[in-house]
Amino acid sequence: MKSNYPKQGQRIAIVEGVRTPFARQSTAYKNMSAQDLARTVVKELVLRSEIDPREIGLCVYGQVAPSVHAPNIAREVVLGTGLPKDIEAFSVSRACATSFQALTSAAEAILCGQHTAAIVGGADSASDVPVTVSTTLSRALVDLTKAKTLPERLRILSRLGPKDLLPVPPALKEPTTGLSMGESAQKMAREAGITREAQDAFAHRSHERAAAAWKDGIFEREVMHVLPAPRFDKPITEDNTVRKDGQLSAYAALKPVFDRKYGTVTAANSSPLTDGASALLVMSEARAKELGLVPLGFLRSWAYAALDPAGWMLMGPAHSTPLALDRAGITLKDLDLIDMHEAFAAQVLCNLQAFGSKQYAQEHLGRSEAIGEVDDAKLNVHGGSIALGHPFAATGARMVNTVLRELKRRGGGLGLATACAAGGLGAAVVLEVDS
Amino acid sequence: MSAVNPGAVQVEVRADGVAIVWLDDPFESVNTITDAFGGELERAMAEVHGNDAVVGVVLASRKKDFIVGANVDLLSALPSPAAATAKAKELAAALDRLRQKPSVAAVHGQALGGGLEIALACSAIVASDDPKTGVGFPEVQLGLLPGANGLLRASDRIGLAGALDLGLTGRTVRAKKAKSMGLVDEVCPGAVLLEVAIRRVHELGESKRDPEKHGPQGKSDVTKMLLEKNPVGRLVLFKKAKSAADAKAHGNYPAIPAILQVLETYGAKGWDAAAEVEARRFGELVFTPESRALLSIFRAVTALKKDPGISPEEVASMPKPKPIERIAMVGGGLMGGGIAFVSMQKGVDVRLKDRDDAGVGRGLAHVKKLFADRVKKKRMTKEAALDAWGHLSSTTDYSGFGRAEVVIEAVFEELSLKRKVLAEVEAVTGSDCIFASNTSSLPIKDIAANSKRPEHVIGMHYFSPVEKMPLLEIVRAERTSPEVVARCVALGKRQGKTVIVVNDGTGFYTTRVLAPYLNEAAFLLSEGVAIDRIDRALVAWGWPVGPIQLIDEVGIDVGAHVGKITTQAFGERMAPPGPISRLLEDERKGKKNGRGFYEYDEKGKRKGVDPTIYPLLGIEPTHEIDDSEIQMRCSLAFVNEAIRAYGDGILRSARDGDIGAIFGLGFPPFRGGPFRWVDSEGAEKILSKLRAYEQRFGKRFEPAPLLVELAARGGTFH
Repeated sequence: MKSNYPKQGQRIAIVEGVRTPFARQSTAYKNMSAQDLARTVVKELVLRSEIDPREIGLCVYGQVAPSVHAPNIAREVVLGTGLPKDIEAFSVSRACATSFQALTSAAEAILCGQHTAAIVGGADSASDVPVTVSTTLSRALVDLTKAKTLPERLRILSRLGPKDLLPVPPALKEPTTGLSMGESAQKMAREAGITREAQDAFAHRSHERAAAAWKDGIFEREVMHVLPAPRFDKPITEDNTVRKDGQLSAYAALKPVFDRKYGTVTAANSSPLTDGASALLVMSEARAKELGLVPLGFLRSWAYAALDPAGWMLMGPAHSTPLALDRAGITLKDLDLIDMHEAFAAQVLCNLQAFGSKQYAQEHLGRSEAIGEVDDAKLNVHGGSIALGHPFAATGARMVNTVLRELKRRGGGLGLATACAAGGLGAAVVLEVDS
Repeated sequence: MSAVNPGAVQVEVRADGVAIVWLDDPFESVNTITDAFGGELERAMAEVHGNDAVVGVVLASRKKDFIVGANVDLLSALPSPAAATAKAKELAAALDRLRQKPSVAAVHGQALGGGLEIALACSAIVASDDPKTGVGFPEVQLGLLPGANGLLRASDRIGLAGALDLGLTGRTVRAKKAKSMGLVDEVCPGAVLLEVAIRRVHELGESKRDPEKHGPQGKSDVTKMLLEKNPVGRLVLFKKAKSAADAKAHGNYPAIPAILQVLETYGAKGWDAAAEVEARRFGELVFTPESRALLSIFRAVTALKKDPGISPEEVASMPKPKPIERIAMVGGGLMGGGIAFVSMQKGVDVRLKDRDDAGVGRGLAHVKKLFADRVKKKRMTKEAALDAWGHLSSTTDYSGFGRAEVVIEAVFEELSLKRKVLAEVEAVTGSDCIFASNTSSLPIKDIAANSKRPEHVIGMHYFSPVEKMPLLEIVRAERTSPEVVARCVALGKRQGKTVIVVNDGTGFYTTRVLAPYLNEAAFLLSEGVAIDRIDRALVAWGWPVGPIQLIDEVGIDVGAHVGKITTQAFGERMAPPGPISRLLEDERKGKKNGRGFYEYDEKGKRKGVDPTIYPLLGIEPTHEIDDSEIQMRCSLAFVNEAIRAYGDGILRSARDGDIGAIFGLGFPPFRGGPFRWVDSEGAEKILSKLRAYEQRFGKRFEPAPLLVELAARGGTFH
């Protein structure tokens, strides 16, 4: 297959990347909205890059659970950070792959010559979710604004029952299948024969690697310190989701969440609800060179794919990865690092199984050969979302940043970052760092 | 000023019979009331009143402000109090004629002093809702009162109490507030201001009201009825106002009793009697030394606003200095936070660095609180505060310093530390980056001793609390480049500061002159004069706080530390009396640790003098001396050192010395600053007082050589 990978000199450079520490829902960031987190990280990104903000023409940013106060978070990020107000901005959503989308949308704009530099990223706060009112109450409220007389108003109010007054939390289920993420993961684990032990072991691996990475200072450059408002007196400097000295045996004690009787997916082998934000500064290779910047690395190719959410919904990585590899003109074994989003240990293990399976390739991907076996030594070397947490829209940019910095540490090479997303979506990007 | 300003007032008669009287002084950037301007306005009004086709008048400005007040040069040109009284009466009479036909003032921007008097003399006032639109009587700040019946007309609209408040505080009231008080009739968007004013002229034309009538308008509320409509109520009102004013002014500001008298007369005896008192008191006030001093400060501040901080030759020799958009702060304490606040507020990006997250957090919390307070007091909108907040970021290392145009250090006052910070900053910043030290005493040349680019090193001495104190003292070292000076001066002005540029030397100007003043207070204390006696005497002389209280507020440790530096540099005459060191051994740092010369409660509020201080110092506070000796010894120590500093070439002008002393240190404004005070007292008199003290107390009162010289030739500083 022919690669459509941009030529040397015309690539998309990622010149800076930073994220907030990730924090469990309602902990360190309980008083910060996703918007606050986004502004904090983007301000820091631009300052650390030390580039003139007037170089930047675009901001593409995302939030999976959007705020009713600021539906276009990307624009709020520009306006709330002292950046030039003529930086245009739009928000994107691709569920858990949102900041992949932000990155590639900006890349497209740069490749088309519409911009030379852009801020991309995503933020989510599980502590600040948009709780809404019932459809009945919402309709009644709209009608009330139009009613002119008291009897009319009373008639409208009389339509409401006590149940209609309860707030409605954001939907966690797929609208078309009625299954939650966890239920989908549980279904996949069951049907693929992924054991509880394997899931727990994988989750433990994630925590061990993340803890080691923090201990070794691996994340020091890519994670900023945040002093949460309003008091600024409790700095958060590391992800508070990582178990530093967890025992594998402890995982077995947890009860399954999504199928209490026969299930294997537990809170410990799933990614937690998390608050956090991340951002990358991307630029045309040519401009980065003119400015004398040394990029973290380059975006070589990307692909998105989709499958029926009623099936194995979280198989997105297996479906998007071969496309991205083809477009990069490489195969799986050319990769030095593979970073797969860990929504659930079960989902990672199912995908790894599929990567190595000729049968899956033939039946589901329309390919004659398997994608390839994933070498454990290359996979999620500094842990993944199970340990680090998963503020939905922030995860993609986190992965890209970590892969690039790790490739650089190793003296260059090729890396893959891939994620599943709600609705049966998958995203994959191939990254490269010149040696 | 030009004698004739053709075209300062232009009349445009519209087809609907409304005449727009445009105010637009072609020779000034703002409209001020000069003789020429007043004459033109009269001529224009005569024209519209004589024109039968004109049904009414709108007064509007083509400038960004309505009228900012009387031109101060008009006042200085008056030969005598009687002439000033006559001038006030003349203007008042002219304003009385504004209502001959329905007239509406369309106020956009500021309408201050005489400008507000003109607006009030119209039948109605319509104001734009622009945040810059405001009305007020700032005359009191110049030691004057509004001389064209402004207080009386304001009282008609908002009552005696409201007029008293405006007159005594001199504050500017924003449009919306002015509307709710009843001072203006209507507030509308600026874009439709003229339209609304024209409509109101037509409405006024249709209603039947007596344009000549003075007296309260509109509804009166219960408080007004109770307080203002009966003699007993008025007695209460004025007694309260008087005691409040005395507590602040200590009888040093003659405009205050004059304003009280005018309104008291209006309440008791009506318009004509009050107008008579007003014109007479106005005439007297113009010729008080207090008003002259305050006017000189006003002029100096106006001049400093235009002063680039470098010589005209230097200005000519370089391109226009680039404005500074990004600064970084090293040290996020109260000082660093305050500097960040005044910068962010004006859209300057700030990178705040402190040693650790805890330090950064305290800095951020401090800045946040300053913004929250502004929003709470409605001096800033929530949105503007949020926008400003976006200009702040923080760090514990030097990341993000690369693009800073100025790095201001506000770390502990220690030479080696400041040198270390300078070296670190130079390593991470561009070759154009300015390093500014917020030192209060160390010579800049010493800080820059090992600098790679000493021409980029400068002192920016802010005063605490930065968000309140108006002065910035910029210290230019011998090697500092003029461009660096000019850029920092411009930054300081943008931060809302009155900026003086002084030359390098220990303590520069302000710290250097403060030291002997505080020392003298300490000498008085060591002689057995009670602490509160000393402080009270100097507050009565016009200082905002007494010297001992000031030491408590600055910090006894800080004072002692700086004292050591100045003593080292200047020798014996700066040495404080010995026993003061015992305070530090007793863990007394002043207000900040709640242990100083005074006692403090848990909230840090000052209570009385700490009685245990006297035994600690081995003093019996029983020595009785005259207030005047306390006042003279302390103030002369200050003034003498100011003259020395001037003589040593630290100051660019006596003007800067006056402004620095008043705005940085609280020297009594109505005395015009140390140099103007010497001028008004006479150099010879000051010299002889100093000589007398020199005989009694020794070398620390040795007169400054420049003063000796000045006295010998009978000269003045100004």
